[in-house]
Amino acid sequence: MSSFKVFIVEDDEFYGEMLKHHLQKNPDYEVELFLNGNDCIKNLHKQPSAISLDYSLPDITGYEVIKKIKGYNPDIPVIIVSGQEDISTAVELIKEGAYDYFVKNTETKDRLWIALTKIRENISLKEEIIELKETIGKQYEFRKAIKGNSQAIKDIFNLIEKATQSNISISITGETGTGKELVARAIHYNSSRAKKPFVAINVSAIPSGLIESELFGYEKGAFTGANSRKIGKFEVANQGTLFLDEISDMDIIMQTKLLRILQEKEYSRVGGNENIKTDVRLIVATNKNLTEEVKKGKIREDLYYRLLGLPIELPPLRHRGDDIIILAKHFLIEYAKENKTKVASLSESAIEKLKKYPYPGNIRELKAIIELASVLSNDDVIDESNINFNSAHGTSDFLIEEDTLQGYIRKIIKYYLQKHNDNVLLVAKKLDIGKSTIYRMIKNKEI
Amino acid sequence: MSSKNYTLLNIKAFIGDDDMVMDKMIDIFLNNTPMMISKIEEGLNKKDYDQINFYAHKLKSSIDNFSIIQLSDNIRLIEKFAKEKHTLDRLPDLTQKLKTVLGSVMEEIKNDFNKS
Repeated sequence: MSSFKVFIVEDDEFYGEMLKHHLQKNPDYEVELFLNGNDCIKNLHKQPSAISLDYSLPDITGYEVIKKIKGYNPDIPVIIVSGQEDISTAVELIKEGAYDYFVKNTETKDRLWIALTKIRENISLKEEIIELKETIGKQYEFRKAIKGNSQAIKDIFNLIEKATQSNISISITGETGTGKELVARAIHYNSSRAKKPFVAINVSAIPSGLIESELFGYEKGAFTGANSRKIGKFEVANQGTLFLDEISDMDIIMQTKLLRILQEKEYSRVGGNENIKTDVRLIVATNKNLTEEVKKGKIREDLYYRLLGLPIELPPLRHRGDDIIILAKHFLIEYAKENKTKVASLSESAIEKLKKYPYPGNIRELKAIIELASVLSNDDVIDESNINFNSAHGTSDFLIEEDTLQGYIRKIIKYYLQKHNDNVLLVAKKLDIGKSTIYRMIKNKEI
Repeated sequence: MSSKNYTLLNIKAFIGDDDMVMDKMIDIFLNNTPMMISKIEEGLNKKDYDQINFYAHKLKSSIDNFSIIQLSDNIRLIEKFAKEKHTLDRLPDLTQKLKTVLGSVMEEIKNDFNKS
């Protein structure tokens, strides 16, 4: 934590020195005493962490000093220490931005000590949050966070760069597992909104009846079970970015409400009357074709144009060439880090096998394949036998490798025989070929 | 029982048993108090009651810190009368008492702390 500088502004030198001495008991505090308001103002460039201000000063009033401090830096907490209890003055000063108001008495030094401790804790928390955000920002520095060197991904980098430089809505499309949320985060953490929240919500994961209160929050008593006010995602993401994944699953009534917010930039919590202004950048994503969804009537056309903004279509992994191997190696490093093992390498045959697979589950599937291969491999080298494709998308292994037509026929027959317990008659019937053809292939050891 | 016009208990409660700091506090008191009395007297002569109020207010905290009980009400009355601008005819006597008692206290402190 950076040093904690406390200014004491107190024209009663005696009292000021006592306070100074008392606060200096904390070795982390750097305390400076000023006997008038103007000296304090002249020294604001020293960036005090907090100021204890006597309201009654010989040169200018405490009210004027606090105004000048707040004009210089509104974040500096100012604690008013006054010789007289004057509620109306206290209220005025708190309105002007004073952190607290103490009357000089025997408890002043202890109250000041507690207030400064709290201020310091708050500063420490804020610094921690900023540090964390910077760390996250670095993690999402998009040219590092998004792996790949293919032209397809370079084109995406260019679009992301453009997206970070404006506030336009972004619509990200792409097959499942292509990294839509990663791209959304990369845009946020590289944009001017990086220090504000990134809030992600998967529309399809929330029942349609709950999505409104999830997005806009609700007031106490809005419905049965609403025992206290809840802040919605729009409010949490204010000045930041709201990422709505699977937007095409949003029901049509909710789409109307979303459209109104995008147009008017304000909304009310469920059960509330207060209009809440919103400044949120919207990034939406879907693995469906948005235009098709509009044609089918599943997305309102007016909302579609609002949301489209800058469209980013993520390429499927099978169109990214050597990126497959770059990503595979990245996942090997990640696996080794997580499991505290040596980073395995890929044999030539494993690389060839990985390159030929179509990855219907895209990067998510590749990651699973590499993790499984890392578990299965007995040494530091992952070879072909460790690479297993278990796609949930129904693509069979025999389509992976290029082959001749005869080669594919052999593979298909073999696959069916395995599936039907070597029942030649059944397979012949299913494939509409002669049983003798199958027997001949078995005899010739072709299958 | 102490026959002194002051005690250091309040100051010690604030700063603890630190002789060096106590010495510094004593110096500040001895340096600033005559100036504040003069300012109150000057205010009285000029009939500048805001000036009297201002310095009486400042002096009040020193009087409380040194627990000068004889002046506890005195300084508050000076401050109140000057601030509210009434009973002004009592201000000269109150100020005279302030000056006399503080003069004695300063002498006692000088003796106790070997200050010239």
